[in-house]
Amino acid sequence: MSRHRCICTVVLSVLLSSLPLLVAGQYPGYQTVKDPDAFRLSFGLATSKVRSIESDFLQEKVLLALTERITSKGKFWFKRESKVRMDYLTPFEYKMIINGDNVYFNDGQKETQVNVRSNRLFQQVNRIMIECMQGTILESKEFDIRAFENGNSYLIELKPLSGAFRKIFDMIILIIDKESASPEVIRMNEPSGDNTVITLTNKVVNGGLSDEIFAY
Amino acid sequence: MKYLLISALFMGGFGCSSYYDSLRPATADPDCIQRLKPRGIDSSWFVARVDVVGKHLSGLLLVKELEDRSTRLVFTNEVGVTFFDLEFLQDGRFEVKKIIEPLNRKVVIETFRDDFSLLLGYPFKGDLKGWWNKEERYFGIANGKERTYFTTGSECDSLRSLEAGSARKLKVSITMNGGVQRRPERIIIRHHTFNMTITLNLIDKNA
Repeated sequence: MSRHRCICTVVLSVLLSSLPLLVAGQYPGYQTVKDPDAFRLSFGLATSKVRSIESDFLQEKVLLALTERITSKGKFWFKRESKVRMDYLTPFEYKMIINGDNVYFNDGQKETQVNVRSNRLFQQVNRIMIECMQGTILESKEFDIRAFENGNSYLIELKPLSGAFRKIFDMIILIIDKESASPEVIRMNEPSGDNTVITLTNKVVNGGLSDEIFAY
Repeated sequence: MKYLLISALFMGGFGCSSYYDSLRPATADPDCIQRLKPRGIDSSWFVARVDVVGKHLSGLLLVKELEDRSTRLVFTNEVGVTFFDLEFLQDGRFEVKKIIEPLNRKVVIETFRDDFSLLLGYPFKGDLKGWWNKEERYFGIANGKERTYFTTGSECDSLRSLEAGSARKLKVSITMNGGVQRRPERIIIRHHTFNMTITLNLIDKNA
């Protein structure tokens, strides 16, 4: 019995000592946040100060098995509480505006307005998008959440718990700039291994945005 | 009243006339077939718009021909979420690699299968026959009730359309404009028995 306990202790110590290496291997340069509760509080406080974001964005969709990728670029706006606008400018034009429960799309040929309450999945996607921007995503009950950090940024890993959402996304990864408490990278991993990475650049945080930007 | 009945019968007679009635058998010109036979689409990204019975869906469609000569069609929305991933093997066999739940319906899958199979030219791999009418030459197959054609002008100058239907009705037509045959700038897939149109506009990835 004591021999068995001894083996268990050794295995456990090896596992525990290798944990930082495993984590570092998963996200090079990042360590697990030391105090998740304290992090949750300070993160929530910092992100609540973000009133608006205006930036360019670069989106890269990678189809792993087909060795294909397509890159698109555009403009991004966020205004608290729940307004998001993305204008895709190249290589195609497309506009998406989220304003509360309403989403507006314009693909250059047709304008569409949807109330997300009419579709549960749509509502879920809308809420996640807004919560990612607001920084309230850590409070979400829809994900298994892990947080990591380095000197400049937080990395938040979100694993969907619900069946419908898990069929679409295997994991969502957010990289949040510590200084501005605003998102820098949103990565959406699909179960197939395909992924989409949206990187925000030339960010202006709290520069003030008119409500008209989100009108349609 | 008599005239009304005659009119109704006359109009009814028109209503029953077959779309392909005017086609007459013709020699299947091997040079013309060789020149214009649909042979698929080079790997390309398209902006895709689907209008179906009042609903509108847009996104990006990747058509990718792989080394084993199979072809994959992957449709994503603009934000990057994959809606479907369909595969045609070299011999035309079809497999759904992935499809999101709202689209995972037999009728939807079969419609995509038939439309994209026609676009990629799978029905034209065997021996083809020829027909003509006043203005156009038709090449394709008449297999039982099914008809599949590609059409050109009397001079065999360019591919005008791809068509699928029954002996009586045109069901689907595909027209391609601009670019070259395996890399058209614009493709329109139009259904004639219900309200559905798929429009594909070639994306210049270097724009």
